[in-house]
Formats: sequence, C-alpha cells, structure tokens
Amino acid sequence: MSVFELKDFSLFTASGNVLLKDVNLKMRKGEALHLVGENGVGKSTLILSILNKHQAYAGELTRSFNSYSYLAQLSNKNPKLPIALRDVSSVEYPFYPKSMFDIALQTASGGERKKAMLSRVFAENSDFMILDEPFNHLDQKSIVLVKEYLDNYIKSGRSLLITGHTDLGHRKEDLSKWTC
Amino acid sequence: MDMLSFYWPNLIAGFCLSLALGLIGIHTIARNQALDSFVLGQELQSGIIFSAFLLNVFDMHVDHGLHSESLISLVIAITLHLSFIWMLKKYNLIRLEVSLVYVFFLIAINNLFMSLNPMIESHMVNSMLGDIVTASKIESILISLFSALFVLFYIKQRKVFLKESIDIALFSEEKQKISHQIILVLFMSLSVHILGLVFTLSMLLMAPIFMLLTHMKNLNYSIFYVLLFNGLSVLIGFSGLGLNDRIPTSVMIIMVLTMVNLLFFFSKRILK
Repeated sequence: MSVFELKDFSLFTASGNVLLKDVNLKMRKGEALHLVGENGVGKSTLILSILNKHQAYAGELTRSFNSYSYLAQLSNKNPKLPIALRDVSSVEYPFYPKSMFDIALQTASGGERKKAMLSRVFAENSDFMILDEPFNHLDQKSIVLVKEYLDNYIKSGRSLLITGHTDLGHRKEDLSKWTC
Repeated sequence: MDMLSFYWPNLIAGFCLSLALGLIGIHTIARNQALDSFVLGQELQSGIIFSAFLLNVFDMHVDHGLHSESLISLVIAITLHLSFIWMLKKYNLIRLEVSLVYVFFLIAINNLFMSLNPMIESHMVNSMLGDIVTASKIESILISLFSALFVLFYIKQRKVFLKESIDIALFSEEKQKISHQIILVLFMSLSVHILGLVFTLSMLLMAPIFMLLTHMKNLNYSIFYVLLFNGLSVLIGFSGLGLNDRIPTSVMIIMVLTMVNLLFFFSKRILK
C-alpha cells in the first residue's frame, strides 16, 4: 500500500520554470521518507503538490491518504498577533514545556515559534505527517528530543515525509538527480 | 433619559457593531490586512459618492443610508477592490506605495464628482463622519441583529479563526481566506454607510493595535479588552450627545476610544 506515487512526474514553478523532471517515486505506508537536495531544488514545492496545494505539474500523481498533519516552513515575517504561544498550542512536549506557554508570539524567537508549531502538529496525532525543515531554528537539545518523538512515531507504524539537512537515518531521496 | 428612550435602537446597533468590528479587527491585523482594510474603506466611500452621483444624474435622489444606493455602491466598491487585489498581485513588492497612490487617486476622484455635483457633498461628509443617531429604526435593528449573530458565530468558531490567522501570520505559503475577506467587506460596508469611515477604521483597528503594543498574555485577554474598550466607548461617547448635540456621536465615541486605549497602554507601562 502506498501513501503517494509519482510516475514520470515533472514539477514547475508558478511562472512555468521546470524544477524537477521525470520523477518516479513511491512512498509506502508506515515508511519514513527523507527528501534531501540543495536549496531551491523544489522540496517544499513538491510537498505542496503532493498535498494538492500547488497544481503546476505534469505526469502522474496518485494520492492514497485522506488526512494528514503538515508543518510548513516558517516565514521571516514578524507576526502581528496579540496572542501568546499557548494560543498556538497548549499541549506540552519535552521540547516545549509549560514555561514557554506565556511568551507573546510577536516577541518569541524563531525557535520558540517552531517548538509551538511542532507541538500543534504532533498533537493532531494523524497517520501521515509532513514536516518541511522541522529542525531549522531549533537548538541541539530540542533536535534530539524531536528526533526521539519522530522515531517513536515511525515505530507505531505511521508514515512520515520530511525535508531538511539533519540526518535521520531513514530512507533518503536526493531530488537533485531529477533537476534539469 | 428622553434621549435614551428615543435612540435606544441606535445605541444597541452602535454597541453590537463595535464588538463585531473589534473581533474582525484582531484577525485583520493578524493577517497583515490593516493596509488593505484602509484601502477598502476608501473604496467604500468612493462607491457611495459615485453611486450618489449616478443616481443624481438620473434624477433619482436618495438619502444617505441603507437604500438602493447601498447596493450600487457595494458593487462599485467590490469592483474597485478586485482591481486593487489584481494590482497587488502584480506589484506585491511595492505594496505600501501602490496602496498609497491608489488611495490618493480615489480621493481625487471623490473630489471630482463632488465638484461636478455639489448636491452629493452630504454623502461625502456622512460617509467620512457618520452619525449613529441618523440611522433609522429598521437600519439599527438590522445592524444589531447582523452584528450579534456574527459575535455568536465567532465565539463558536473562535479556534478556526485563530488557526487560520496563525497560519497566515507564520507561513508565507498560506493564502488569505476568502471567508475573512467577505466578512470584512460586509461589516465595513455596513459600518461605513451608517457610521462613517473614521468610526469604522477606529473600531476595527485601534484597540487591537494597542493590544499588540502591550504584548497581551493570550488571545482571551486581547479579545476581552478589545470588546470592553469598543463597547465602553460607544456607551460613553453616546452619552456625550446629552452634553452637546452639535458634535456627531462618532466623533465623541472615537475620542473616548482613544483616551481609554491610551490610559490602558500607559498604565500597563507604569505597572511594568
């Protein structure tokens, strides 16, 4: 059983430039798939296509999942919300203790925001999780704790699609081989 | 008391509308749409003036308010806003500059129509600085019902609104939600027609901006203070009618709103 499958798949930017060409890739249920590649190769855009949020592609894309949890890359924008991190997520994890809940979102660092967002995604407890660069902005201690959580997640038979430059020891696919 | 027995529907309408606008305002700022709402306000005013001009050309004089003029002006405003969104898509990197030039252009057009037909000057004044006491009983009841329903809907859907706002604030990939755009256009249109542009933008943006400046501990606190300050300003500002009936209530309400927010801001700073 697959989660998704790409056959002779080509990916384009919104302006029509080719990002990836003739991709053949299959992700099985219960598998962890780590997409790697240089900056700008098209990792995030490929994820958006898999989630049906980016339609500029050609070829065959078969989706066999109904629900998912998704963490996108944080933008560099300074958020303007009169709220605290507890409004983003009030579910505690070792990397996101209760002591962080009352930090105002607008004054929180990139790492603190990322921890709150990871906590929100993990709390959704879905069978298919997609994390785009989840370790960016995180300190070394938090990276270890998040890795531990992800290891347990995969051991429980669920599927994980992840991008980033931190080695996780799972099946890796380098997108660079499909660039033009 | 005589004044209250006569104007109670108007007072309830202003009160309910201020609560609805405050709630929408928090999420408008969160979604980086404060500038868009400013432009939209100007488009709504231009819609009112242009529709009044058109109706006058065809000898169909109407008073300012929720009449046939409202529908025509709303269509004009939405057309203007869609053109604005199209322009922003093309020139998003100079968003602020495009918005400013566009607003100046609309102000110039407004003045052109007014100079061509001085009879529409009252529409210009009312759409800028409306007065709640000029709303009819039916208009007041409609505004009250519409606003109260929205507040109840918001309470039920609070988590959905918040999740959308967080995603738009934190992730560049997320697009603006059409539901929020529709709510913004509907309530701003209603408010600009009856209470004017200055009241609308003040109720929409002022208290949420002060909540941002004071770094509130969580959303519930922010919402509580926005609702308290907006509602209180309407009640106190309206009572100013008894002191001087020549000053429009919207002016009194905005003065009170500014004072309350400034007092809150400085007291928080002193207590820190």
